[in-house]
Amino acid sequence: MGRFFKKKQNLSSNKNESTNETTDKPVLFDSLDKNVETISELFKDVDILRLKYINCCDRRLTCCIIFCDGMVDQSVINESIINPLMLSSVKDTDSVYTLMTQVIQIGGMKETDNVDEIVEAIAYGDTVLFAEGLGQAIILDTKGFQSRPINEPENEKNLSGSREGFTESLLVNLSMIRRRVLTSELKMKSYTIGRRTKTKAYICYMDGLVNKQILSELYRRLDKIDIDAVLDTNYITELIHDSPWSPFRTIGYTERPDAVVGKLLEGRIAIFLDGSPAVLTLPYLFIENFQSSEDYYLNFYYTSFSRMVRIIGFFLSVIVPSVYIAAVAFHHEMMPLQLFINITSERQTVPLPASLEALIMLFVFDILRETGVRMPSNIGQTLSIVGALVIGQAAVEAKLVAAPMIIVVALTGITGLLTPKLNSPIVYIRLMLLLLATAFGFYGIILGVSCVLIHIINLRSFGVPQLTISGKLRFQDIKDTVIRAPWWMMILRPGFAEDRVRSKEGGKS
Amino acid sequence: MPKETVSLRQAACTFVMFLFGSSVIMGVNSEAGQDSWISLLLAMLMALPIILIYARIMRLYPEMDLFEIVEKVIGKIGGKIVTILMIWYALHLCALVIRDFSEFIKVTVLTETPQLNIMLILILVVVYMSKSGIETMGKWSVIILPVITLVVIFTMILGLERIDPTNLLPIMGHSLGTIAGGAYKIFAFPFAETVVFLCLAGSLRKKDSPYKLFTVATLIATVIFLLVIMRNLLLLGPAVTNAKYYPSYTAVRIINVGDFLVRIEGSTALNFILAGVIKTTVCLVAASKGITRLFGLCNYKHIVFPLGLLAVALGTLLYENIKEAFDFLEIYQIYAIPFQIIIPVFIWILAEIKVRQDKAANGSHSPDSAQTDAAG
Repeated sequence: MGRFFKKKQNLSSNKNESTNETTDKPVLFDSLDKNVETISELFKDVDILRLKYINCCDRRLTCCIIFCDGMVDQSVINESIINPLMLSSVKDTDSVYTLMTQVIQIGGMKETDNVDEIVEAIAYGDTVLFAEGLGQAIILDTKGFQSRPINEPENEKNLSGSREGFTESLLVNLSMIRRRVLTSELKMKSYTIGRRTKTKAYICYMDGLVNKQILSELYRRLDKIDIDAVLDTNYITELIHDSPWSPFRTIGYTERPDAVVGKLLEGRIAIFLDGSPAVLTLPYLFIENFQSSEDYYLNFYYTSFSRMVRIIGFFLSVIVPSVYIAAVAFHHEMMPLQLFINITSERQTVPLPASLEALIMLFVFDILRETGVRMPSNIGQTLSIVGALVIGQAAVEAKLVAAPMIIVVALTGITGLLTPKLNSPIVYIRLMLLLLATAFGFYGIILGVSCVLIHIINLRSFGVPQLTISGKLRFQDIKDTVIRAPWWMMILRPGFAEDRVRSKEGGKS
Repeated sequence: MPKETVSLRQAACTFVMFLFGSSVIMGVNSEAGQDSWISLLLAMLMALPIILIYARIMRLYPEMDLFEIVEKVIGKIGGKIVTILMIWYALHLCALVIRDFSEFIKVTVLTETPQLNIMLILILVVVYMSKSGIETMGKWSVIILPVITLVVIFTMILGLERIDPTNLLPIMGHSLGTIAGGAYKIFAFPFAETVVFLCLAGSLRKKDSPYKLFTVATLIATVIFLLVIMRNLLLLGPAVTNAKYYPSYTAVRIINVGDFLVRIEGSTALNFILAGVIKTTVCLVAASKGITRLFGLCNYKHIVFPLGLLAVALGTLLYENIKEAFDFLEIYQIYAIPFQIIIPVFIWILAEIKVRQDKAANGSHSPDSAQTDAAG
């Protein structure tokens, strides 16, 4: 027992120590009982652990299989492990290889003498088989836990293209990528993150396309992560962010397998995390905030237009309230006369100054939006009535808010929803510009926008500038930015890719 | 700290923005009235030789800035004196631009806002830009320069219905002396102010030619200035142009397209602010680099903020009112001679001699390697 105590202490001590003291790790013995005792001691108070002893090979060999109830596929255990073990009449039973090659009828199996590996396998839904007199265990792949079926992702809906979305199951997600790229160039490297959760992650990239420097930089940053648990990919995003204080994303995420494959083929790297349907892609360029995988599936005239709508929507969303404030408060002369008269007559009876009015109304809009996300969907009707009628129409009729302000807020809110990936920067930029416009009018807005531009220019994603500005206007640099060029013109990959040539000049056949 | 580098195009855009700086709103017009445009062309011809001298200095000692060069060619003590002079010039210019900026805003729109606030909000942006580095400044210019050019071209086109070509007559109505005087004013402000760029010369890569950079950028700026002068003259006429503090602002103000697009003078303010930010940043970074060199500090970014506040303080002390600001332009063209002409020419001659000496000392080395030896 003293030995066990020591082992447990070792397991619970922190990562660094346990890696240093490799000599004192728990090991397997030849005795079946001792081995089973080791494991059940480690899984003490874990009552879903199941042990089953089997006498096999004409009772010459005693085996024990250990698994977690609910994590495994019972029928596989019954038919492919227990059944053959009980019925087999193999004579030669002094090595695990006999069991592996002649008895057990399962594709995924592996022998090991590493206790950590065994614990992890049991926890992950595998079955471990111990046998009397053999110093090794066999890990049998019997994962059978339930996961959500493959659905279309709710927040990345497309009109056309694949309807598949990632689920929480890592292996299902990987399979969706794997079957879209049928070459050995697609590499998938496993990685473990989280000191306590030991969450599995996979790093995927296309060999030959990926930039090796970016890849090694990614590994360097992942190695530096020291955190208890990662429950979602956003944990990783924040831990390996280039500029941790920036509200802008420097790592992309998507729930669509087709989008991930598209990114991989542009030389990007994808990070899959078990338990999270969002997959990270990097490096992330600023323009990706405005891209959608659907852009590539529809006619390029149409999608170029919608790309521009999204970009203009972003500008409107941050700038409309502040421009309204600046115009009303400082620059009356810039409005056409009739517009000025209309706005002023509307504003005459309103008690609050325009900027305060804007702040309040924008805040109300954000309350409505947040409520819409949190509340149960069957009371959505109530929200729209309260939002549209009470806060909109009634407020104007009661002369608490000017009607133009409602229009401004509505426009701001709607355009803000166009680019969900820019949600967090939009809120702060909008607020900053609003305050600057209140104090300095248009000059404040110009200076504020300058600052935002400086910030965006400064942003880097794994060393790659988010906004590539060479000063030369080359078609291949803008082909997939404000417009989406037809596929036969997309000759080059993005600048950071190792192999830039995507297709021959004029890839049209 | 790692060396910041900019591409030739980024440098050129920054250069044009710098020239554009405060002068587009303050005064590329001269007392030559309708002949201002001739003054401008003359000023460009006067400026090209001196600008080529600046380029030559950069070529002789590539990837080094002015402060390193003077230490090489004049020696430690002399170098320090020149460094102090250039720091003063850059900081003073920075303060001047900030003050011009706040005067402009105060006169045009924010009549009741204290000037100090306007200066502070500008300097915050400038400090942020300086701290982000020369590379960011170059990229920023690449994005903003087309905006500025488009605004000038659009206001030109929109104003077409109101132009009066007779405003330009009589051509050469002023004496050559007046025109040349006006030309010299434009030469000193803004063309020869580009001497400040020598302080950032270290960021230009060796393979990029400074001659090309300086001449092309000067020509582009001249074309834009020409458009601005023509627009103002054609829309307002020489009398009004000279009477107004901010002729561009007034010229654009009278544009009226179908009673809908009216009073778009804010667009010229946009230009002024955007270009002013670049000009101030260049000056501030130049002064910071000088001080870094003078006191042997490691990174100029640490002293950008205090230096920026110093520039604001200096800016508040410069003039009593806007009239003084414009009167100072007369003094400025004389005051700037040592910084714009005497010091650079002096450094250039010494540098030519020094490089030749080094080359002779190194025997039959190629000129390039002699330069690198000198640089190393």
